[in-house]
Amino acid sequence: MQTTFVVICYVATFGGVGTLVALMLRRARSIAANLPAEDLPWT
Amino acid sequence: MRMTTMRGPTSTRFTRGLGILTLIGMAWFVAFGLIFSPNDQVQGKGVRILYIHVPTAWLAYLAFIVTAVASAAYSWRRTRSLTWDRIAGASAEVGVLFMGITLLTGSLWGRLSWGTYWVWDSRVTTTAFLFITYVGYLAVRGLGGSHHQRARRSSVVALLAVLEIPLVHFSVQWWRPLHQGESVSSGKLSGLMLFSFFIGMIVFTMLYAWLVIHRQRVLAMQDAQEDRGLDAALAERRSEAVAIATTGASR
Repeated sequence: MQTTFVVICYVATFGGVGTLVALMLRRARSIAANLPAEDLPWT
Repeated sequence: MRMTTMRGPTSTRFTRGLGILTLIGMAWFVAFGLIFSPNDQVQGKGVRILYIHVPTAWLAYLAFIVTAVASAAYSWRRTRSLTWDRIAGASAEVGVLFMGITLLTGSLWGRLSWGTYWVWDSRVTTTAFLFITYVGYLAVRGLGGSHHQRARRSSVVALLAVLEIPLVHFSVQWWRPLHQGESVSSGKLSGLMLFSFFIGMIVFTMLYAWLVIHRQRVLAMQDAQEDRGLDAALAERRSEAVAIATTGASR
């Protein structure tokens, strides 16, 4: 039971963060496709 | 219009370097957290959950404090800028993510240590209350209005919400709940356990910085997209008005 709970914690943490990062970057790409370069001053 | 690059529209050389270092750190953290660090004499393998639980809780505090500082910077006339508002919003989102992880890992650790997923003790309850408060803050940010209306509204909420953090942090001293007190400063962790814990602190701090930078840029892009949509709608309306006026004059 301890091992299962520990693995659930690590998988949920890094899996959850990874999923949110993927969604964020996908959203960024879709918005950037409709914006001129001047709206992305950091690039 | 801009072509989407493979590197990503929100990345720079700095964020790419930070991202690579964070990924390497995560691999180290998982290796030490799951394999190299020993089991605790009392908690057994359950101590490995604390390597995630404690750093994410601290980073959530940091995220909410950054939200408050950025909101104060926006509220002060000399430094008023929507960039501060976006940093506040991005930091709050990451803080809510980390606080959610804290509650999840804490619940699983509680099941192993206390025999239950949830207790209504002061630390656990105030942490859940803090989480819900910042979910509410994000909901306030999502209300309608201009960018500055959003910033004004949410800065007030952020400056009030941050006052909950001392309540959460000192709850273990004020009310002596079931939740344990300080583990690191009291010397309960040592050797490889302490090393694994510090790797977790560093890795989650780098992850926080990377996430806030990228999320803040996505928010800037969303604002720019809304502004351009509004500009286009206004231009269309003006051209319609000019066309109507021209037609009326020619008659």
